[in-house]
Amino acid sequence: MERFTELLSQMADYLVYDLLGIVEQSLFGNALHYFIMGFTEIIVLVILVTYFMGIVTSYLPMDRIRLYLERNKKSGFGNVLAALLGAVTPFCSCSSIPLFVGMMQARIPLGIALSYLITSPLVNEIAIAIFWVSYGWKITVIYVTSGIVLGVVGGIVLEKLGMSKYVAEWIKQLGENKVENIEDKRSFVEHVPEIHAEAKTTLKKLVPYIFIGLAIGSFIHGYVPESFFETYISKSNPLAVPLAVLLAIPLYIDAVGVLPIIESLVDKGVPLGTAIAFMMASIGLSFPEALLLKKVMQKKLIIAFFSTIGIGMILSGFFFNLIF
Amino acid sequence: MKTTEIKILHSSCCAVGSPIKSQIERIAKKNNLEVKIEELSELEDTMVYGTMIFPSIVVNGKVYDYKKYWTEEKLLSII
Repeated sequence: MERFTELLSQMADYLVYDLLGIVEQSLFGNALHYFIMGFTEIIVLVILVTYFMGIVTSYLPMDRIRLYLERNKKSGFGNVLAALLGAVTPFCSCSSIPLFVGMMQARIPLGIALSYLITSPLVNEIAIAIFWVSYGWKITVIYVTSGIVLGVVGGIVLEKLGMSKYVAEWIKQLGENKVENIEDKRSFVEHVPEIHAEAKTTLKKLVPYIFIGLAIGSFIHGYVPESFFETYISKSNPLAVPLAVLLAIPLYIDAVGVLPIIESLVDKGVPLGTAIAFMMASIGLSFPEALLLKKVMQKKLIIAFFSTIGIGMILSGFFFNLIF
Repeated sequence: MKTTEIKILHSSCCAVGSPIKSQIERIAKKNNLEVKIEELSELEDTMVYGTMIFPSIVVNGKVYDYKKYWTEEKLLSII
């Protein structure tokens, strides 16, 4: 990994300072250098992870998972299972919401289905890869664990609040159905076109987000003075984490787009916990997310859902700042 | 000549008007089959069929996972 970064740095050096002839110590040169390095690194990571996850999901028997959850409906254990499932499935809400409805159809308790729905966008595999490369495995493990804990606790809390009656009316009227389990007998070679097609679509969707996120991140890296955040967002300021969470709600940046911004914020002295709370909130509590949820939940449940995970995110932010 | 009723189920955030529709139409035309295709993408319409995998194809009330039937011959075998 070290070698890879070094190579990237040399490449960016050559591009910015030799080819374009930008002065080495200039603000713009610095930002551009950061951008080129970051962009290459993230694109390489994203391609690797997307294909890897494509293989995983191609073999993930959705129907069988649902059956398994049906048999393990106990509160607690079922929640942990569902959150783990949320962590390994790709993060797009378009694929997680149908599964959520499917769980409701299978008469799986709402709390368990919610544990899945909360963790699914929060723990995403590209974030895992980037955290691992930037901050090492300890922080990565803590990030994944906190996403799973948030899902489990959130699901149980919402269930206890008696939220079950607030799922969308049409879901309640759906008949219980049994999915036929058709064996997938295809060879790996037969899986390849599907994996490739999925990965290609995902990559196409992500590139603009990565570009915008990195542009913002590079700007912060090149132009914002070191001490700027220290003054406003220090660990000692108790309002910093809740504010970061609230500020993230109207921002809609894709999970992958927000990562480079997080990275440059942390470089400039924003505490890691505050940054991670911001990241989780910008993914899990956005307006588009609310619009999607509106299709499957009544208003009361959406509000409870957002408040519960919002509070959970603030708590994890504080917790992170305590540890690091 | 009987018309086969086909429904294509999309996930809620993917646009209708997919290449799948034209693909099926093409195959049908080639083999002189009459098809009537309807595309559904609203959750309320698609979840009724009991699948969680999109895109899926419904032919005469039976649900098929498009990923497993995406080749021409396989599609032809179900329509």
